[in-house]
Amino acid sequence: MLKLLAKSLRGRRIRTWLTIAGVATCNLLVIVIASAFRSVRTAMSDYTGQKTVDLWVAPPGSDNLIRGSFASLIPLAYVDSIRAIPGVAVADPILEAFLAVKLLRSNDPQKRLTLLTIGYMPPNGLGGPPAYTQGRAPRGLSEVAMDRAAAYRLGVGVGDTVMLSEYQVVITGLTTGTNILATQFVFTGFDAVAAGTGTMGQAKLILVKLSPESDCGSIIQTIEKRLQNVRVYTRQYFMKSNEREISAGFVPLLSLVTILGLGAAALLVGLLILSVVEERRGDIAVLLALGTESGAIGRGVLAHSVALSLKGALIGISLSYGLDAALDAWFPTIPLRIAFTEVAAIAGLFIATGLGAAVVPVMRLNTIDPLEAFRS
Amino acid sequence: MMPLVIDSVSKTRGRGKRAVKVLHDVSLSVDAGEFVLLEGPSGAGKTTLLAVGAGLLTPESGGVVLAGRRLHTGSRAADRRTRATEVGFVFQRSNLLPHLNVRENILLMGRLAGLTAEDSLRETENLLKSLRLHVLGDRFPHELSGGEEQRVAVARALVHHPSVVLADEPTGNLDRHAGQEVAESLAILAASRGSAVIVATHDVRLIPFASRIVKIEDGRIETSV
Repeated sequence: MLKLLAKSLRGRRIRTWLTIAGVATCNLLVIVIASAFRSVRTAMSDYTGQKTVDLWVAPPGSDNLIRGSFASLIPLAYVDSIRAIPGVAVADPILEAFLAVKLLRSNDPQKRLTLLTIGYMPPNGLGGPPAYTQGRAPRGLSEVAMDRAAAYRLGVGVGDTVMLSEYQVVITGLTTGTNILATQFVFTGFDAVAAGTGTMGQAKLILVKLSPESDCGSIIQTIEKRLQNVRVYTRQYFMKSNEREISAGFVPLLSLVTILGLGAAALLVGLLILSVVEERRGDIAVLLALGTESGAIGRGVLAHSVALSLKGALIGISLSYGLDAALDAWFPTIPLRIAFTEVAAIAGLFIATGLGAAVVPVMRLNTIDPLEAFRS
Repeated sequence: MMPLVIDSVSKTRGRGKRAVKVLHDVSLSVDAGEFVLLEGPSGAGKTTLLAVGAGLLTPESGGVVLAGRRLHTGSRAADRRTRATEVGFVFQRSNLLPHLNVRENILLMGRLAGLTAEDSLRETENLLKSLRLHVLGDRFPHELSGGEEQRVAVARALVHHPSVVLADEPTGNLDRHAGQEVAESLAILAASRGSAVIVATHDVRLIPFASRIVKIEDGRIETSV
């Protein structure tokens, strides 16, 4: 019976579909922002959480790649000191700097990007790209592996030559999981970054791979005891620290957009349900006169409201997966990483919002007199 | 047991200076299967009397007994349940729900009255056949003529075998032929189901169907023949 009641209380078809479209758009907006955030966070986790690195040795106050990373450097000689510690299998330095990458012969300012440049020991040193979509790792100072979104924005690909700061370099590979939205990663030889930034003989971070069955805690203590002015972070800590740093910028924006999206959806659903109650006063009066329990009409209105939000949410979810595929194929600059659990939670929020939006219209039902059935 | 007994009811509409007494100590009883015409000019109190009889309005004095149950003395929910099971309505306009098709409009009333889905569907199909509306079952109200709409309203009023059908100007908006069809349908089907019918009307075409004519004027029953 509730199904029949909900059907009898439907709004006009065009208005209903416009409302569903509005809810779907709000839903899509929130999913896109959340997925972009997740993608950025995942990119940081993919790089800093590489299983080949157990420890990150950094100057004090530099526990992430984004902020505080240029505050100080550590002597390159520390690398050999760390390698000499029993239990350390591999220790490699990296340098990072924001360097300009531009086309070889172009004065177009749009064809210039400032990328987070990681100088490591190619091709197999620790701290290299987490994954490639095309090509291979750089082998020398004049080669780079570039994030594919950055390459797309510059209009270049594998085999092309670009300017990295003042040096000509050839792109040998395109990487993925290296787009943090505001910037992207480019990987090249350690010495190239050292020369480009005038930091010869120094490193930003030293990445350490431990031997199997070595005691991580005692190695951390040994490094911090033997080497002055360094801090040693476990992979998990360093990864979380980077995620926290990225989240600090994103979460307020994400929260704001989510609240605004939910608010807009609530207004749309509330407005439609209110118009249904107002426009259908006569029909509701007839239902009351026929003996329908006003609570059942209220439930019918709520069911209608939830159905609107649910349809909007499902369409929004479908569109988000479609948009993800389309962006990936044709416009990889904006990375999305859609997680089903997150999408389901967002849909749940929208449905709850739809339910909340119907409260005021449902309260308006009390103002309808069944005697209106005789006047309509 | 009489389906409906209205005993010495008085009712005032409006408040303060605008208060108007629309029913003065009115009594009316109908027997099962009876077809009563409630005749009178506009403003005479016909609709108010129907509303009081259905439990939609509470009188200041007097009482109403519907299907053996005294209204306005218990809870509103109990009155509503009695109305849903014991009363069928036919309004001046069909007042069919526009987003439900013909079949669903009738089915919904059956379900509201407490019939099971199967019983409601069976009764609906029987009535659609009796009223020669079975080919229109899937149509929506806006796809029907005025006469067809009102015959569907008659089916809706009878699907749950109510004790009494209250009809307010059911032929008021119809041409002669359609009005005749609706009146016939209502009279024949209600009689076959043992439902009493009270029709508030100006329409003299309904007189041949009436077992009794009650004239009401200025909120008072003038004559009953």
